[in-house]
Amino acid sequence: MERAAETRIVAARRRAATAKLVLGGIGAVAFVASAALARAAYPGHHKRAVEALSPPRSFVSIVRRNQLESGILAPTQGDPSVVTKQT
Amino acid sequence: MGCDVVVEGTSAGQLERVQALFEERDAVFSRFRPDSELNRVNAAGGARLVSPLFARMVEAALWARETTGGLVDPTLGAPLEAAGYDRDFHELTPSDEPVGASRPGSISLFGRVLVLGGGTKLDLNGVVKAAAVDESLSLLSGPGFVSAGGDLATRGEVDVALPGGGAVRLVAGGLATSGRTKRRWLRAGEEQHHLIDPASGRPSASRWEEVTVCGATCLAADVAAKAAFLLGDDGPDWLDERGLPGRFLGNGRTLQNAAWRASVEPRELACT
Repeated sequence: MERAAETRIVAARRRAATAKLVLGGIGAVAFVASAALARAAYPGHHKRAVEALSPPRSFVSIVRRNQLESGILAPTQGDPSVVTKQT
Repeated sequence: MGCDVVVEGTSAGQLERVQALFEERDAVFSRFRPDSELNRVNAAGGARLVSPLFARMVEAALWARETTGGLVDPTLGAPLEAAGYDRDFHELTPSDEPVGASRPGSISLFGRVLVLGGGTKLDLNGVVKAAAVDESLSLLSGPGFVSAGGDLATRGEVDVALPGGGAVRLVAGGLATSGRTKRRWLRAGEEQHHLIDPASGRPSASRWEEVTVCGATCLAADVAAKAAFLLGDDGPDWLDERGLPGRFLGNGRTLQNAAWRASVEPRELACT
């Protein structure tokens, strides 16, 4: 009598463990599915990996090179109001 | 920064902002203020997180080094000190100590993380002063100019007196002069100056006394003037290859490169 009761308890525990596993799995799948749906459907969500807002390297090199461009000079037309000199 | 700042075309409020900008730059980048960020960085060496302003100026200095093929180098603080320029210029006195020589140091910048090699000391004064002129000009709301110790940038035309006589009209951009006639001192019986040749680690033996260059900005003009000075005989051609007008003073004679002559000499207009 006691042995039959123990067998039922073991079987019940096994069913409970299986049920927990199945429910956990369903929960995990549901979570991932809802996250994926949110990612795909929510307007404010990033659809692609975030990239830094930096210009292309070739553009940067051109700008840097152009920083050494000339200003504009002309023949003087009056008394100088400032002097350039070594400091 | 050890120089006079002249501003024209500014309101009282804008003048205050220009003054505050120069005071801020002096506090951060002075080699002669023990509490400056530059001195803290030089003393610490190694890797260090620097302020955004400091990182920006180092970036500009690295651009200058790249653009001039290493001639205008920000890591020449140690050679400058070895030549005797180790205190405020007005405190320098003739010394019998031998002149040391030191090579450029190593430097890397990753965002705001600055890494200095062992013994490397930065000297950012030239870049900082020229950039301060450019940034001060942007604070002016109308036409005017800003000049720091003779390096200037303008918005609107201005007539500028030149070293050794003569004048030119700066229509747009910046004008800067570099040379060895003012900041010089005696060490071990030899005349020293502040323009260090990175190849030798000693004050340059360039034959030029002063070089004046016109650039799109004061920073561009200052960097090009230093490079042209250090290049010696090759300076005029180096500037011409880049379309930069340059005027060279040496042994009492003045030489203008082709770009300078094309800008300032009167030309006959062709009639059709």
